[in-house]
Amino acid sequence: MLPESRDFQPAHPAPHAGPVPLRPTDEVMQLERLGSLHGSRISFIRTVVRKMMDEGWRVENRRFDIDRDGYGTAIYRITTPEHLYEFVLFSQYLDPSQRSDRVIANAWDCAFALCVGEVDEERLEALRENIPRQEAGRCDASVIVLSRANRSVRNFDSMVQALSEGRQPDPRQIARVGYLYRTTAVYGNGKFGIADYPKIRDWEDFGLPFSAQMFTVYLLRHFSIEQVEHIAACRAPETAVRMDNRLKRYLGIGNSTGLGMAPFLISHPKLINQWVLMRETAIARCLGETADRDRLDRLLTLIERGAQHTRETGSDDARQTEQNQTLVEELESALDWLRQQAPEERRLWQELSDYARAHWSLETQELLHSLIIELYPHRVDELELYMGAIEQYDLVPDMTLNRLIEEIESNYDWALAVDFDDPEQTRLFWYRSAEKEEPRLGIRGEEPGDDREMPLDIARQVRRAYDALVSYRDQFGGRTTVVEFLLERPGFKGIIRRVQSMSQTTYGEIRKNLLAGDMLPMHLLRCKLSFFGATKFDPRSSRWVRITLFQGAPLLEDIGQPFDDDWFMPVMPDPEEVVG
Amino acid sequence: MRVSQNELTGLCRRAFEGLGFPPGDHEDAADMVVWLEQHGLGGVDTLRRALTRLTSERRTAMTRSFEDSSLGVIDAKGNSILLCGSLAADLAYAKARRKGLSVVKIHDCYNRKLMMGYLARCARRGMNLMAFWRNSEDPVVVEQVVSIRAYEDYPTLLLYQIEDQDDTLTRNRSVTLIASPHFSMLQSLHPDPEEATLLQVVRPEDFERQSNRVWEDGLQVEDDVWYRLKELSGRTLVEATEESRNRGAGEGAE
Repeated sequence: MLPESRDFQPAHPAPHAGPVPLRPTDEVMQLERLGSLHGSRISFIRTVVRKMMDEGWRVENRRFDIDRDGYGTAIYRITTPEHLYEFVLFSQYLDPSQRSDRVIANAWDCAFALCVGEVDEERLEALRENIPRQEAGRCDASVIVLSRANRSVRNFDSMVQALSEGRQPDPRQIARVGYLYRTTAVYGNGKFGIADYPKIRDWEDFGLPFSAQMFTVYLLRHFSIEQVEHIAACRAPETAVRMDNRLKRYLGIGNSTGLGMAPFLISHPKLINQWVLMRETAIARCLGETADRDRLDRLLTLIERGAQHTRETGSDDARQTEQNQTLVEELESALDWLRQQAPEERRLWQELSDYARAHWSLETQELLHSLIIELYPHRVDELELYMGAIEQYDLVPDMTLNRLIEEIESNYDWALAVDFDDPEQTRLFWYRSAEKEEPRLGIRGEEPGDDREMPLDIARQVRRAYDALVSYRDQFGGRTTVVEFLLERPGFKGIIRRVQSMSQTTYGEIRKNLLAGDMLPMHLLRCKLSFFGATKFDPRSSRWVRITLFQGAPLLEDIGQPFDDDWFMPVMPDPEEVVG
Repeated sequence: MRVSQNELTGLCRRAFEGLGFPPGDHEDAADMVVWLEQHGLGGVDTLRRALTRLTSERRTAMTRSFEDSSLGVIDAKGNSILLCGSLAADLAYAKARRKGLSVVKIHDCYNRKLMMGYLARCARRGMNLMAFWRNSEDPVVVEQVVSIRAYEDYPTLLLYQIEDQDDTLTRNRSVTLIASPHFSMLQSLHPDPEEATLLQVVRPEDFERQSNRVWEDGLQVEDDVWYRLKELSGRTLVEATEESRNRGAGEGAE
């Protein structure tokens, strides 16, 4: 059931999945599977674009004081049915030697913010003082998102050059790098003085998680296109042309993400539970549908597109390249398999899912799920409203030790199965670096800092708490309460509270010891990024990745036109048609 | 400086972690400070005064002096309520859940008004609570009574100036908690205006209004406390080495 109004987001909703059961936690929450997820209809970029298109948001270019080299100030006004916002962007010269993907950089090609209400001159000057400084500046609660971006060296200049010469940029180049700008941080929820999330949580526009951040990135995409067209026109007013709309739609925004994102998944398990639960609910609902010929044909088309999209996804990372090749081959096998099926009166999608689980890689399994979800918007799209969660963790102090020990044994068996006497299981440690306080991963015994570990070692903490609880129970009896135990052993309060809270959820805990030497942080990053809706995963190491957002999304000028929300996994426009 | 609630919470958590608070306790302590600040009752200022003691004195573990099924007495050994308040409230909660009513008294603790935020957390789990304590604020004694109903977000707080200068409660630096899932303890005005002068009444709607103001505008925190907390949180950080930089960690952030 949908809520009657969006004035209030339920704390931990669990909509009905239908006749098909949700997949088991132990299968879904394996780190490798989470690291194989793809975006879907309920990813945040899809949701925010649907909302903007459905509600006909108005975006006006209010100021474009950009010089012939692209430097200056731009302001876009956004009018939604609920509020007025302004997107303020400062573009500045950046010495190429300072251009860096690292979060510890302190200069960017452009810095920008999404602000509530109109930005007058006085406010603009305050923003000009602070936004380009990012972490070193201070904003106030009228700013809801703060971000910065670097130009793609490979694309920016050549696109300006092409447009100024009256040519369209080559789509093959955009297929290689699908953006003009790449963000390195998109800050929300109170960072550096901006508005806390609870301020906007009940807002119709940006109440859902990360929707304000994603919309801000979308506006950067629009600016990036206007900016290259502007520079080209200034450079060669006689010959310059505007970019073909097909190319504009094929441009996204890049993002470079590293370990900073990883702790989020551990410290927000109720939110992660909600995201995974909604995705699994969508999968279960759709797998429970009876197939028909039209939808089978549509799925075949989507799989072909997914395969083509993957063929057009490049990466220097050998592992990702191999995975992409496998994905393409297996999608072709899926096409063959499906073409031999008669859809009528069958749960064909369930059969496909079962077949995929038995025969194909995790990436293929999860992409097929994302594509099946595309077939039933009316069964899926409402789930976007349930992607929020309140991260409250309460102790159950009167729970008996017997009961708590049972909960650990049944819900954290995966943690108890880890042998922490094996040094390989504690080879890694997470710490917070003094350099801009970003999280990092060290090797125990080789690097300093394991005396100041971040508490991301959920499995090890559970093991230690379990051993202490069993010992205490043996001494004082199983009816002893948790609070009595904690008054003697207060150091276990955090993990016990987490165990008690998460035992009431299905998909909150990632079932992997994050200290193990074979743990790949990339899986954590990709999991979160897939819920954003990222495509074109391009790992630069096991610890950071470049991705693309909004590639294929409609343009601002498409608002008001018929919109069929069919831009997942876009493929390159035909170069013959675009370039000629 | 103006900061967000999320920033203050994060910084306090790391500062308490830097002070050696165990996992679970550093989150609770931070939440207690921020709750009071968010509701206009000077959480950060209370923390500022507590920091001297928290950073300079060796802490002694609290002990249980007396206990039966519905009564508990905890000796906080001169520590801040930040170190013992949450578990004391949880003890009151657990006993009340089992026996219908409980009384827990914490002796010899400081910063007792920080307790209010934790009471609100217990209330959302279906418990009615009341806390009562007296502060000696030379030359007067201030009596504070706070109560919150089960499932409600905000308490009611009454503050009185008391003429009784020789008060055992004040000297004991104690706080008394009463909990029951069955009935709430409603405050009434002190029956003898000669003995007690009502200083302040903060009603649930006042708490809510103040909280909403903070969401709208953020919080104002004095620079010196902010940087002191930064310094304490710095104890949890690890200096980067050339090797760690080269390893490629840290690019990008949420």
